[in-house]
Amino acid sequence: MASWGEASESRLIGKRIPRLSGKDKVTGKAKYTFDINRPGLLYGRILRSEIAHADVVGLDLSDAEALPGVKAVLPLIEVGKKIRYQGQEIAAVAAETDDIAKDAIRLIRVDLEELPYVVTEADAMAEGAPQIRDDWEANQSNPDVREEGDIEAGFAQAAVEVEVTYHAPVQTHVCLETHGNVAEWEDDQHLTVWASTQAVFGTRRDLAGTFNLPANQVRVITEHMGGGFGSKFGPGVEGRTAAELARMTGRAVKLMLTRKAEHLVGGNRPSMTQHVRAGATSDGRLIAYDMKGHGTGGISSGAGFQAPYVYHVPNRRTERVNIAVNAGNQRAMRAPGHPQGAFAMDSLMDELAEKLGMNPLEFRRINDPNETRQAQYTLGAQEIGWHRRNSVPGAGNGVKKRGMGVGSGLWGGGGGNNTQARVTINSDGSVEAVTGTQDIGTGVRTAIAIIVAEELGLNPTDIGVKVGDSEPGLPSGGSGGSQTTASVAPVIKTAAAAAKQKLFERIAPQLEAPVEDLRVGNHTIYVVSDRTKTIKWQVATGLLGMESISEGGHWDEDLRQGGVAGTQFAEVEVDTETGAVRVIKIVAVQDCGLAINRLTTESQINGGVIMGLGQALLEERFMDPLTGRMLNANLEDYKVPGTFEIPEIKSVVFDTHRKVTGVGEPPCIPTPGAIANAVYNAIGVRVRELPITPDKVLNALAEQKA
Amino acid sequence: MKQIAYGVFANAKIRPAGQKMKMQAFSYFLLPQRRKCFFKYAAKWRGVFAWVFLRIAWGFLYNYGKVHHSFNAPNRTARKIRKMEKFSYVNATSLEQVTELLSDSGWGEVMLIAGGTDLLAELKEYVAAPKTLVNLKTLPGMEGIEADASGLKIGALTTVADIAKHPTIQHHYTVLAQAAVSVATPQIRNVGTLGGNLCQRPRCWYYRDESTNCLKKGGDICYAVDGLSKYHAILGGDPVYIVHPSDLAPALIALGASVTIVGPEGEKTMSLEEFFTLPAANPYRENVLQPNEIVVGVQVPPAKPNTKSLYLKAREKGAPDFALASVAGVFEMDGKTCKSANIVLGGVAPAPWRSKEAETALTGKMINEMVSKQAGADAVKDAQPLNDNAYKVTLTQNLVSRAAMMAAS
Repeated sequence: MASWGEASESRLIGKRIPRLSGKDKVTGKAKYTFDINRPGLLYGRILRSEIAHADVVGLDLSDAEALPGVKAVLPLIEVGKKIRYQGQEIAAVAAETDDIAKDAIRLIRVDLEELPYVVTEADAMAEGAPQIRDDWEANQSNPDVREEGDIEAGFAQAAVEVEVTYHAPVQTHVCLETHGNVAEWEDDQHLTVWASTQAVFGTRRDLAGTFNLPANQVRVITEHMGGGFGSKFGPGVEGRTAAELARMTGRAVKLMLTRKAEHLVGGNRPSMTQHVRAGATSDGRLIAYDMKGHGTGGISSGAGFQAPYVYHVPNRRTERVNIAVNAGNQRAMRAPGHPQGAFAMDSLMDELAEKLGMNPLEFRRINDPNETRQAQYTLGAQEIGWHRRNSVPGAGNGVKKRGMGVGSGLWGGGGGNNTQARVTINSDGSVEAVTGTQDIGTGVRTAIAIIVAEELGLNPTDIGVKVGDSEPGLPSGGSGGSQTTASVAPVIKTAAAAAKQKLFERIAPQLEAPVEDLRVGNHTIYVVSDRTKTIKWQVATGLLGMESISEGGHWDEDLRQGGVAGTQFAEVEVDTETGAVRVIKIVAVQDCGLAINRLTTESQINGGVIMGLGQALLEERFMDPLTGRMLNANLEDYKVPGTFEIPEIKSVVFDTHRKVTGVGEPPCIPTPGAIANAVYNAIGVRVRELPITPDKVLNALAEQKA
Repeated sequence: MKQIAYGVFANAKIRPAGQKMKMQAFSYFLLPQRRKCFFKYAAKWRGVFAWVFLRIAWGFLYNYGKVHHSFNAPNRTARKIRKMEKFSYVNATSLEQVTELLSDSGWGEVMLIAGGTDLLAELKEYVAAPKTLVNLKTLPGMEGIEADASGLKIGALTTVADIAKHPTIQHHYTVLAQAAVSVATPQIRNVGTLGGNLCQRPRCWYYRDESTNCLKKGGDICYAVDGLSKYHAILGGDPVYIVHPSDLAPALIALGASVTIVGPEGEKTMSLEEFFTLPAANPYRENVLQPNEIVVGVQVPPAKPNTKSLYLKAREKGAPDFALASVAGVFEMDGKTCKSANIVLGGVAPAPWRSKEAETALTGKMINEMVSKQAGADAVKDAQPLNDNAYKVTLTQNLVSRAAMMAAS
């Protein structure tokens, strides 16, 4: 059975190793899609609707076509079709400069007949609201009802009950590099696209289908990627448009979304509203849970969220509906459905615990079936200093009050059998590891180098890692669901082991030892039974002469495992006069199986916490019922955490087993719940709506006073 | 129902059924909280109020009528912008040249640029479309800080960063240094100027949306009244509920600053407080500046001894973020007794808002918790929050109290 070996035997795996591309990134040498400039490059732009709902009755491209410098104009909607949200594509242009392209789209004339729209859930659900989807009566999907146990019997056993409503608004991904592509045709049968994507091969498949080409005639390159968070799994309308404009003009076309379009059509995390009634027994067991909830994923997407979450409730009933609004569709966003569900569940846990007069951590210990998290509760409580917590929420006379809270999460991340890889040993001693995965900022490039270097007794910097290119024809899956490392690592490891085996077979006669006795370490191959017999790596590979060794790998299931647990503790300070919440410290204890690179794993956890903090305290999409438009499709009023918001983060890589598990998503899950509970602990009044901004804190404090 | 839109989505909004937009003037009494407030007030003051009301109503309608005939509503043209028109760019050599260039047109044709941190965004978002841009950075002698016994003289081209780090300002005009350092980010403070900061346009999300032709831009309604108003005015709003975004202005007004303006007739100096205007007087502009005038500098009288000054700014995000509410306070103290106080609020009104009420509540008083609380309450007693910004009333009240307590500590 394949294994990663014991921690004591690992020279590199599990250590803290700086990411290989770090220097390139901080010096600007690393090229992102935005940085790609091809000879004769044209600039693409898309005209988008500012009207939320309308019939298209006319489209006239002639003025745009006539503008000097415009090389192509492409309609993206037909007369007779409907505009269904602000940001929907109307037409695209390619021009000699970006400024000309920007002017050109403004010369496109579109005639619209405006239709009634709804952009907020309240308006969509209101009596007599205009129906915006033919198939959803009253703008609501059929309810998804699930039942387990007997909730009436459950409530009969409950000693305490809580009935409240929690809400989390729509949040957008805010990829620092917006969605976009540079497309270039070599001839009419060969397309190359530099894509800001989480799925090089998924994008290739999509484009090959769109242009009716064999997949092997489409090349997709993503060397570095500026953030996707689940929103970049294919070329999208903008990618197909870039390729079509390039085909029309015979020139390379760069088409990146504007920041505004990124907010409008680049995907979002659906909202969540849940009205929940729950009960617990006097000895602190969750016994009944009844939830009716809804959310919006835009004009034609669902809005799932987890409820209940993490903790076991034997008797439960849940009912969810999706609400349609005239707004851009949701896309997977870092742990889809989990952070908002966790926020509601962890808030509910604290509310029940208080009614029971129990410490919220104790209450969790009783109801959490997961052993890993049980251990994490102990460790996290020590790290944050849980004993210092306000024993009476809101106690104290000061203006600034401190409090602590806890939240939990779970995730899969076990990977899948979707990756081909090769490890090649050249006669000069150099090593290449090639696979079609993509490094979307998570550090998989470095992880691959570490695995190969560990196997071959080399240093990570000795390994040439080639990822983010479909050209070598070694497919891999999209980077989503925290699956990348668990999908790629086993294949890389087995490929490196196979290459090593081939080299040993070649060297064994030289060392006059059986192949099984050969080992490699620190750039030297040696015989385990007779340590005097050694050969330097370079000398050994020199024996290959004109040959080289190149081996593939396979996805060995024994090298990976799914299922992680995490818990976070937050300490906050609330200014009761200004309503400002400052997070002082977050302790994030995250199980992630075998951390190939402890440093980048901690980085992942830090990033997740910061994103969770943004959801907890800052981020919200504002849709305006008067105009049908998003009012904060920018980075001024759509606020994301900056340096002033980022607290001390103690990222604890919680070792459980030595099998690879992904950890990209889970660290953002427990943060909003932990912060919300900490705010309550500080001020003694609960804010049940995210984000917890000064207005909500001040309003809650005022209600408490009244 | 036919709407023709170019790439520019002109504001031919057609209301969906059942969502009729109310005319703002009539909607005033449709909001229950306002109705209540009105009647409470009316009962107390009866005849006086009736007269005042009629006078205001007459004045408003009179002005409103004038607006449509002769007011320069600069951005009425904005919605006709199709592509980014070429503009000429002139490096200014003298103030005479600048005022001459300006005098050829009304608002918006010829625009002045210094740091450009506000104007460039307006250009890129098609909210402004000048034919000529006049670069002020080439003007000699308009940059710099003079600090001596007669007070402070700050040229309009002085950067916000230079104000923030000036030792005399930090020590003797603390409120100004604190306000300056709270502006935006280091990059913006390094290029943004005093003149630009005072004359910057509103951040209102309706105003900044090209497709929304709001009252400020020459349209018929202020969308904040029935729309989303979290960041809008609670004081002095009617009929345009923007907030003035400047941090420097409240600080300078609290310090008793005056502003020097140059126009075709030469130079004039006026109090900075009077420089700013409310939308009731002119819904399209935020100050008295005429299209052919330019701000050249600010003077601050010498700091009185035993003066304590400070700037408190509440925001959602550490930086960069505009104020939800801010308080500039200059307190002349005798021990814990406040001999005089200047209190100016930012982020809550269409102009920096001098709170005479808070000043009166503090003047001559020994500052303690009760007195400071009263000052806070008095500062917001005329506040008229919209749908989403009632929290600003509490916030402003608390900030004023905090500022007073800090002055006495």
